Amino acid sequence: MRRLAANFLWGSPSADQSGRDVLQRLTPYLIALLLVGLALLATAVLQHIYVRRPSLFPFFAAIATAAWFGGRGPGFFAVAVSVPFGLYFYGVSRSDHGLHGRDVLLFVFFAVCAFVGDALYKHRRQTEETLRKAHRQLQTNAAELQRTNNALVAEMAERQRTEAALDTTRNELARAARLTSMAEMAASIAHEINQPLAAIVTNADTCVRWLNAPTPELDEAREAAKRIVRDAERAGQVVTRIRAMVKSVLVEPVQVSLRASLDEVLALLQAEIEKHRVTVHSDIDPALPAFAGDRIQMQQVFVNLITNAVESLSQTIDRPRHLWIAARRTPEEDLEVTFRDDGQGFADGVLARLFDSFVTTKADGMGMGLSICRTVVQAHGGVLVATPALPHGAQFTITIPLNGGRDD
Amino acid sequence: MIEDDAIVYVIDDDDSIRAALSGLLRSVGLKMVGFGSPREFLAHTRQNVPSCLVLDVRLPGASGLEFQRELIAVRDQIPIIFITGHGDIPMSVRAMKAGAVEFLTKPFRDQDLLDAIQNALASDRARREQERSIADLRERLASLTERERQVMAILVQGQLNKQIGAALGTTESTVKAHRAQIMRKMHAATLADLIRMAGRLQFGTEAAV
Repeated sequence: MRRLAANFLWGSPSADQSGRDVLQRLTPYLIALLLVGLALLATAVLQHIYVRRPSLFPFFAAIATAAWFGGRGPGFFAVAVSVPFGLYFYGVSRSDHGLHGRDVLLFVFFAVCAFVGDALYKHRRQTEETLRKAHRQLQTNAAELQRTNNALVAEMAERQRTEAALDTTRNELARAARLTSMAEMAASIAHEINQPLAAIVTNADTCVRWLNAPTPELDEAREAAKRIVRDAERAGQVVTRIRAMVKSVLVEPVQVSLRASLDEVLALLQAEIEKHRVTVHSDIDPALPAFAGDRIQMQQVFVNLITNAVESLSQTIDRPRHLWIAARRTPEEDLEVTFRDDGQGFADGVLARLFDSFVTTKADGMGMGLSICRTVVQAHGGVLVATPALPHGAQFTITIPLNGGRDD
Repeated sequence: MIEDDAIVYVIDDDDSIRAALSGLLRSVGLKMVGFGSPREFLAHTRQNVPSCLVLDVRLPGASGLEFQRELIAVRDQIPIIFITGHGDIPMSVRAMKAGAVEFLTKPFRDQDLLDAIQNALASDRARREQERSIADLRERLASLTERERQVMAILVQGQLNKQIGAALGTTESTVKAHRAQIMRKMHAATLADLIRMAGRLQFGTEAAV
């Protein structure tokens, strides 16, 4: 307020810092002086109108205003300046021109009133200022809170996006791992078989050469033939090893909860299922007992069957895409899990050799999935059967004996 | 099909393949030395005879293609025949561009490999022949005196004895004597022979006086 008045009265601050300070400090006193001057003028006018009726109210007002403007110092200054004038007017209004103790008391009373009023006002102003400050602080805090809240909301959205991305990545990874491990395995098998095969061809050619010589070298031919036998045996061992490997991958059976296993698989494939807008209807008997087996292996079978269904459904555009998963306990004490979709189903002639290796209906398929699935189910002493679903689609049924009847 | 004393080197980590190839090459009278890895091959002291290398692409450690690059880097010019269990086209193109003689996919027929080996040995033999004759010529050239070399430099440019004499500040008969020496030392029957030799040695261009 003071500075505002100073600026208003003296224009914008001069370049001289100390001069400006002095001016700023002096301004309230000048204002006090000005106010007393105005009071003087007003009193003179009032004196003129109401002759002989002393009026000190303008001075009182001037003192109060000066104090209000400038605080205690200018207030005292205004009092000091006003007193002689007030006494003068008071004296003029009286015939005896004398100064009485009464008059002084009245002035003191004025001054006290002025200061009490000023003090009260100041206190109130301070309280208001404190309140305003508190209010501003509150607003700041509220804004801060709002900002924090916004940041939190943004962070949550970001987190959700990240999680969704993570889910997608995880699914892609699972799929890639499934494909690459199969591709790698197939390449490795091909190499392992091809090496002895190449040796056999060369040895056979050599054998024929020795026999075709003008004088057939029977010993050499026999050696070549022996090498053929040795290499063929080696190739056979590779095949035996692969068979053993597939079986040995099954670790010692543990008690597996079908429901939990299926739930995990569905959670893993969630993004993929949603991406292709497939509705999954899951009907799993809550009272299903656990079965003895390899959880990871069985889950890979589930992943395979569900992924196949989703891929088949993703090409279905003329009807809603449904996948029904049901699990129950049969009267024969078997665990039966069915995966039925209303996707593309089986092409003619595919069903008969569906579980053979390297049979596929997919453009980018390896034709290994179902073959491995059946091996895994069989290793659990169960069967995996494919049937066409009506009117469209495919159904795969896994039946596993609950008494843990592994056949090996 | 009996060879001189050519040697076929085989690098394949598979014992069966090495044994089969050894048998096949013996049936055509070719000497073979087999190795399980490039390192063994490098550690072996090779004989200075026509030879070629049958190299498996899939090897423990460095691949056959990498080993081919290594050999090229050290200017080892042994012809290479690649054999592989899973050769794709880009791989074979790379190998052939780097100078491989052949790229065979296992299992291959004996005749395909034998033909490739014959080609490889023939090219190695020709290269050795070439190198030997150049080395021979260099030796002959080295036996010339400084003066004879100066005479020869001008001679192979088709200048007459008289012109050579003028150029070198000597008489025509001296040039004639030098010339006879040059023809004898270089084993050149005619001037045309000598010019051809100078061409192969790049003599006229690099040693022009």
